[in-house]
Amino acid sequence: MGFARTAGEALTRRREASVAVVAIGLMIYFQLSAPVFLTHDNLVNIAQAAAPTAIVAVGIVLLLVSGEIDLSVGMVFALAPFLMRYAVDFYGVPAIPAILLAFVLAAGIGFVNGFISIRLRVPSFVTTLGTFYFLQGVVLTTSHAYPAEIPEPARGDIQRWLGAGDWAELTWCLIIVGVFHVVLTRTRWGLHTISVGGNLLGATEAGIKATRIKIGNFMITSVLGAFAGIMEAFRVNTIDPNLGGGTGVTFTAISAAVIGGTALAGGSGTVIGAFLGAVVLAELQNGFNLIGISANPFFLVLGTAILVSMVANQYLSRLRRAGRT
Amino acid sequence: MTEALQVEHVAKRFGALTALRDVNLRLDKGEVLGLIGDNGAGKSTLIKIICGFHRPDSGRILVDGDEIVLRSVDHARSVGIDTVYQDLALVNELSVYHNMFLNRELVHWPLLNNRAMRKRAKAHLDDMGIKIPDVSIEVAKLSGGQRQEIKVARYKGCVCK
Repeated sequence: MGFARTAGEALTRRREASVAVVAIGLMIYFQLSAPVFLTHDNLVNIAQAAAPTAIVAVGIVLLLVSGEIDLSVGMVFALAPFLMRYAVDFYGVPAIPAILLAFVLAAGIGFVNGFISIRLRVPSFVTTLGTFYFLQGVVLTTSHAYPAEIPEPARGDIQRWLGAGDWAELTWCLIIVGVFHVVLTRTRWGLHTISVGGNLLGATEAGIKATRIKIGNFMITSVLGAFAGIMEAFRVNTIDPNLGGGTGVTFTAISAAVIGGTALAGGSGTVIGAFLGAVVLAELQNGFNLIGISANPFFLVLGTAILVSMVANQYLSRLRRAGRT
Repeated sequence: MTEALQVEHVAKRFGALTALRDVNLRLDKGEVLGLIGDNGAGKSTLIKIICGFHRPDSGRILVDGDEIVLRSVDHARSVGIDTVYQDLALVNELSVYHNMFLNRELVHWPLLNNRAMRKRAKAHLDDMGIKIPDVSIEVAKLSGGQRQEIKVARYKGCVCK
């Protein structure tokens, strides 16, 4: 009884815990129904599916917590590898500076998203819907809708360390998740991010520069999207205009954040939860594949998972508010 | 003797609306001043100008006899002007002590110095005889009265003039 109660309290208090339980439960279930699930090769598959989503989801969490959203990040994901390629192939920039240049340009895109949303007061949902299509236009026009090869100078070690290695994406993902977990929970930036999302007027009156915090989070999200996109291009060994499947990455990342316990209303969210959310989604997709269910019902499960976790989230936060936990 | 705060001929317009016209105010050290008026009289606008949230269209503000152009809430706070708002200032999602130190956090760069903030917040609340069981609790869980106490405590703790 005592243990059950403590566990119950932990579940309601730490939002990550319930997602962790689901992730472990799925792992056990799939391992029992398809014993290849926990083999090395398959774990690599899951890691490679979860990592890019989780990296993008980290940015999405920061934005959702500060009361904004970015739909365009999935297109930054596809654009960034092209930016790197153009810098290398057309301007002769070495590989690493070319990647950094892609990050800088991504940060610029994030700045534009933030500037239009915050300074010009266009809801970020609409702003980033616009930039999403605009960037899609940039990707398709500049690439002529054709995939390209990874530029020669970026191959070898760089490609391996930044995506193609078995555990490269997961390693970077864990570093990013760790860093931003600390940023969100233990730094002024995180505290102010929560404040502007939780009580914008109150935060501004306390002297917090909400514009700077929000635009900063748009920039972080874009750069994380670019990083994940470049790693994904390295991994699949081609630069594809359809990398991430258009809206695919954006929506999976938002789903991961939401399943992980981040509220769309702003003010609360967890980076670790989003990571676990991405793991759950990757497990589902992979496991369904292994036990021979077609990819189609995956979306039934995804939809149900989002709805159930949101309803549970509402219920739990009401419980927390009431102080009963 | 110079006044701690002096407001001279301040005016503020929002588009076609004139919120303040030729407002003057003098405040000595240690003086408590009540500002009374109807709804929409411009009390909040004046306060927001004094605390650096709004810029006046004309007129000037003197702190300790020196004219100062307040650039921001932070700037006003740095010269010793601070504000308690009626009901907006707390962030429900944050703990009591984070709220008490909002935007004036103690930092152990790059991390927040939560331990020191917790300790000081607790000592401060004890000093004022405010009973909050745990300063780490989220503000959302407090009662309305407790929230009001936190807000007052938050501003009594700072160097106000």
